[in-house]
Amino acid sequence: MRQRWPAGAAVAPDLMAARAVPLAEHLRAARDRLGRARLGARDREHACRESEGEKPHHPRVNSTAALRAATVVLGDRAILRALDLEIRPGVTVVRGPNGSGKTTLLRALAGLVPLSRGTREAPRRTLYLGQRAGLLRGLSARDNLRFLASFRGDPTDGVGPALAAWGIAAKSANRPVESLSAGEQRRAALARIDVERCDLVLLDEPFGEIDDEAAAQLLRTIRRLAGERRSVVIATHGRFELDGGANAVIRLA
Amino acid sequence: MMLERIRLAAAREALAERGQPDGLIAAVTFVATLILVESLAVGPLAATQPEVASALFWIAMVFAAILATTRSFERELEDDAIDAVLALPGGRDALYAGKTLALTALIALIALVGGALSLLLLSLEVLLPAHLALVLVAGILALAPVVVLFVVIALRLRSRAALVPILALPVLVPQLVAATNGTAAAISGDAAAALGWAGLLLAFALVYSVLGLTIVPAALE
Repeated sequence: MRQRWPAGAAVAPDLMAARAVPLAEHLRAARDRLGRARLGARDREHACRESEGEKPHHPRVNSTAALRAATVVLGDRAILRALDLEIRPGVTVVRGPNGSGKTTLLRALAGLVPLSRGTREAPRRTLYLGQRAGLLRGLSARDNLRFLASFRGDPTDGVGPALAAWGIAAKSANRPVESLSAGEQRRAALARIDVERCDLVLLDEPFGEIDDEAAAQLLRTIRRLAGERRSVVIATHGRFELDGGANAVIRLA
Repeated sequence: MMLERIRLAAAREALAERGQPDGLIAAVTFVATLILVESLAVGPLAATQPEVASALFWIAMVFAAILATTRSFERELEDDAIDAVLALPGGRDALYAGKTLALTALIALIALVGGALSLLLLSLEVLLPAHLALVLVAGILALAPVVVLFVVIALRLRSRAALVPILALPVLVPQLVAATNGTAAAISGDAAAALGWAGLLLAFALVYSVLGLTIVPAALE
């Protein structure tokens, strides 16, 4: 809206003062409108800017987890440098060449690697599934999942159905995990998603070692989690169909 | 909740050891062989002296405990099973305390076999069996937290198999001396000395358990 002024009019000081108040209010309102418009644009461009390594300049109100100015040094190499990242409900895909720090990023979000600098915010219910199954040898898949659920204080009656849903028959579920195939171990580990029901699910190359059927089930599970307003972060080389429905695609160089 | 988590971690360790008892078998075989070889090396007469027999037993126990504990953590590193626990809330503390509890029981089992073998092989006459049992329990309680602590500290190092004994043995010398003297006192009938050494061993157990709970969460990162 444009402010109209009487053309050529001599304005008395008291009149100027009277007009100065609505003018200041008008300018403040215009600035707020402009700010809101910029904020919206930044929201839309968030994924792109993060992909390019830019830092977001505004706080996120709906974030599930965040890394702020996070630097991770492993040995003598800085794997992540001053990374700002906010994870929101839905799917976030992390891409990048080998050695770019995808696994380190997920481990940093899970609290499994110390930050040399910066801070980490993550929900208490965070599930990290690494590139390997993460199941203890000597125990059955069922006992592994029962232990991990009990440790969170979750009920364990969902373990059997979850394993069955991921194609692990009762007989296999009771065998020591080392006697299962790599794919079965992986599926048993993925069943943790259904048992532990976490707010933040971190999946590092989750499609490795599983067959097409399990991969399709994993895609369905990821979509379901996103629909439930949970946050899923996936580090992967392939599966580009994930990018379409993702909140953000982070590309690490 | 924390106590429940510790119980769960200990139960998980015990179940895994039952399913894959290679650490226990290796440690028992090692203790039996070491006691036999040591007693042959020092000679049958010297080996039957309470001080020598006790020293042989506890030296074998220290190495067996390191062996069993290292194997237990190697099992955790296979397939990154340890990450699943460390990523859980309270996982670090519970893992250390649970492992220490379960490995204490495992070392006690190894000590039973080693002790029985020592008594049989060396024809030892124990004058104060109850005191001997107390010193054994105190010695095992003092041993486990230290060994678990140093295995955890060296967990991510490639040369941990060599480093753990090098790091742990100097720290374990006071426990080794106390356990040897306490065991010898119980065998030879010196009740006051046996109780004194047992008390010292319990103090070591307490100090290293608290130290472990303080250090391990950071060491596991």
